[in-house]
Amino acid sequence: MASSRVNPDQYPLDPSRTTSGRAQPRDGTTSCAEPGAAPWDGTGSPTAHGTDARDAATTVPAEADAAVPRSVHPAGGGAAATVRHLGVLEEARRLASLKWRVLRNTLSRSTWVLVGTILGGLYALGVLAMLMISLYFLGAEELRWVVTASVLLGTALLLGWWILPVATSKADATLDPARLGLFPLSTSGLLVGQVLGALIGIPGALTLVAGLGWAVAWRSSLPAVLVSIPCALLGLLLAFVGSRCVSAVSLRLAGGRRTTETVSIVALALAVLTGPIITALGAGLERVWGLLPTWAAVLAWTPLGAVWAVPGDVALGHWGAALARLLITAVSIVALTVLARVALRRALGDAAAGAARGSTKAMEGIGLFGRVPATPTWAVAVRCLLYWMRDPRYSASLVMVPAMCAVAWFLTSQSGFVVWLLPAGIALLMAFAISADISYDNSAFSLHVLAGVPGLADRLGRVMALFVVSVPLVAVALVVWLVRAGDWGAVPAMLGLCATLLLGGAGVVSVVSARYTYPTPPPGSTPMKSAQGFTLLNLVMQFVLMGVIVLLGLPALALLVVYLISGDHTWSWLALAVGLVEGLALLWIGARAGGRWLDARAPELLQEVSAYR
Amino acid sequence: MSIPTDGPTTPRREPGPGAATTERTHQDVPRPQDHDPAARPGAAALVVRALTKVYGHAERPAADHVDLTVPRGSFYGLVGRNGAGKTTTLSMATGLLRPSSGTVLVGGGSRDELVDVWGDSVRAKQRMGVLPDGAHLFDRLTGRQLVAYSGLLRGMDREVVKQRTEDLVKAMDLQDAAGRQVQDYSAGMTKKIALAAAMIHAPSLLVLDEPFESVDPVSAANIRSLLYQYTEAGGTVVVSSHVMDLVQRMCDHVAVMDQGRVLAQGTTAQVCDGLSLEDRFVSLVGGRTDAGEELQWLRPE
Repeated sequence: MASSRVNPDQYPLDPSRTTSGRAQPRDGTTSCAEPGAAPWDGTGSPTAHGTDARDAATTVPAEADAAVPRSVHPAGGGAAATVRHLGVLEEARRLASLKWRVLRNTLSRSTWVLVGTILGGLYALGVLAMLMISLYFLGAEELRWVVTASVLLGTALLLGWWILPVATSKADATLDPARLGLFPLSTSGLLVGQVLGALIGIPGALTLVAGLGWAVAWRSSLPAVLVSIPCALLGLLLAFVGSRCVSAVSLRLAGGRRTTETVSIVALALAVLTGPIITALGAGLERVWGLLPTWAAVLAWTPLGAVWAVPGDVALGHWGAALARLLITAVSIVALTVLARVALRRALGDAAAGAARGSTKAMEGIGLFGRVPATPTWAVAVRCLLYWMRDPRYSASLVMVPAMCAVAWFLTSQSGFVVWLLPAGIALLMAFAISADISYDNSAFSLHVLAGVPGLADRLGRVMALFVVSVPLVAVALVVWLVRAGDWGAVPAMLGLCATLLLGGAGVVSVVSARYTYPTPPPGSTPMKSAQGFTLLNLVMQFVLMGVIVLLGLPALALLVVYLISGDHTWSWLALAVGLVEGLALLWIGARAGGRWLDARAPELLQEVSAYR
Repeated sequence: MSIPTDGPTTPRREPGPGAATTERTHQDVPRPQDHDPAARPGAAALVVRALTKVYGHAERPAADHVDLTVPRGSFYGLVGRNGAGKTTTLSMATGLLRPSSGTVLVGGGSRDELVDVWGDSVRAKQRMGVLPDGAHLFDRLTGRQLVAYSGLLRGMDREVVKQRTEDLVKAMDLQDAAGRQVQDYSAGMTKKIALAAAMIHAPSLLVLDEPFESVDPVSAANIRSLLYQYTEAGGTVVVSSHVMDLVQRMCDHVAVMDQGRVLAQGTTAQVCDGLSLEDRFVSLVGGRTDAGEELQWLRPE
């Protein structure tokens, strides 16, 4: 049955080196935690018969004996200390090698993961090659431009490292403090280990190579080349420490339900801020081009840009400025380290934070379940609706909606085009949102399998809940669009386009998600946490799926364009008719086909989603 | 059909084959076709035949030609070490995991014919209530909602669902917690509410994987007596457990599994053969070592 236990592979701290009794977990130990999934070796074979059989089943499992190698027996017969305090560097080294081992095991687990990673690696290598060529040509430019480009690119790099893992919820969870809470690790050791571990993996390795290649851009001045290498390393340190700091802080923040709301508000504020920035961009590319050196000069005195400007100062002989910028960098590294240490210490001391749950308000009766027709379809719909409201993994996907509205509102002050995309974009994203539904259920989906819920009921129930949530949101987006664009004649066409995307999209997703799932954070975890085993291939599949939905929206979109060009209202109404008919037809076909697929392979699907953690 | 009283003395299966199976375990794997309960279909609540599961490239099957016959009205214990294949077997028997080969038949129903779980799964699932081990629940629902959801998913009438939900909540002693979300429950409470969700449709067969894990002694006793009543009313209970004492006291039939195979099955008295179940289990399964000898270093410094 769907076991939700933790994969033991992640726990031993580099088994080949550990000196404690947990060394060398053979396959017998593995099979304890994952019945059947692991290969069976002979450690448990009935060979040794104890004379005292009384405690056999309840005391030390036999595997533990079999796994203790002779070498762990201290010469003194148990008196010598086998657990000694490790140095910070040794701890860090072991954590980094743990990361390496986990990476290797993840890759060797399935061919598809390996293929996905190789594809991702090739893509990244391509980007790296482009970057190196650009850096080489940059070296031929004036020093002023080298400094400007270095500061801007460096700032972007740092921002990317700091924000992207949290924003895309793909933060690396391998050395998550919550998993290491039981080991006697020092906070410094853990932090250094995490920073070292950041180098292991495609993004870290690429950043390192790019940082070292940066020296090419300074080839007009030998001192600058020499200084750029330590500067690049400092910049990398800043990137990795900052990244760990941000994810440590955000993991702590994202735990509770209330903080999820806070995060969403912050995201909204950020989205609103992007408005003015993009407005400035819209002011004309040439003016922006002229502004770049000024921006770079300002950024070069901030923690984000300082380190990238140091080689330029050295090349020009501005030793004071160089020192001041190094000081800024050093102070920011120290500050981030302190902050990360505080967050980590809290996280280590609080490893069971998940257990400390807030009490929810008690409720009489069965709530909404009692007010809908007593059929499986409605039951599924109500359950999904409750999840849309109560589960942060669902509500996190709702955060995007106000953010997108705000962006569209601001952008429209420049060009009227973007707001036209808003309602359709929201309809598309919402339809896509239920593609993760069964993955979100995880092994709780076993209840549907055990109850023999008809596939069609499952599909329709989920779609109904989606509509209850998304129709008002799309309506709000339409109102925003109408206020900004003011084109009443296009209302039917826009309705038609949204209907195709929402209804038809839900149909497509109903089919695809009955067959294809992708890893998501398990129930009870924060949406900020990344799921293990999510690869580029999953991402590609998601884009393909979105692309298919967009293609299906083309007929209504084409009619909308025809209306806008010709101005004839018939086309607008035709778009509504086509959109509604196509959407409903797709939904009907999709729910049927998806339901049939679900009926046929529900057990396989259950095994698949149960493995996501 | 007579209703078994609780206690390990109700031989429902033919004693001969059961004893024979027990005898042979040391030499060879017990193979099917020594006994054929399909000849007496009325007596069986669950029949498992040659059930095998091979995962991917694993050398050894997780379940290897498992044969089990669970008589109607029995309280059937499935014991084995970690990784013995209990959960795999029960998952396949309840329709959660597709077997590599073999059949599972569930008895019950008004005409009392056997139904193939992997053939006519809808009818088979109506007859079964299952408590999977370690599965997530829909834990953002309140306790009552979860139990009711389980009933509504099976297409039950709303008033019946409401009434039974209240009864089950009371039986599980969860009145205070039933209005709160299941994610706030302790492990034992979670187990109890999952058990309630498995029983709401009044199945004729309950398959419970580790039902008493982390349940407090008082609740465990209550649940036990509830399950006894259920078997006395003609229901059948299959439990898996590591706790030999509990199984010996509770179950009238027992099967011992190791490394994906059934080593022995029959009434508890037959399998125990005069020993305690724990001693008998160890002698069947083996693997007992003298922990004290090897772990000389395991002492506080």
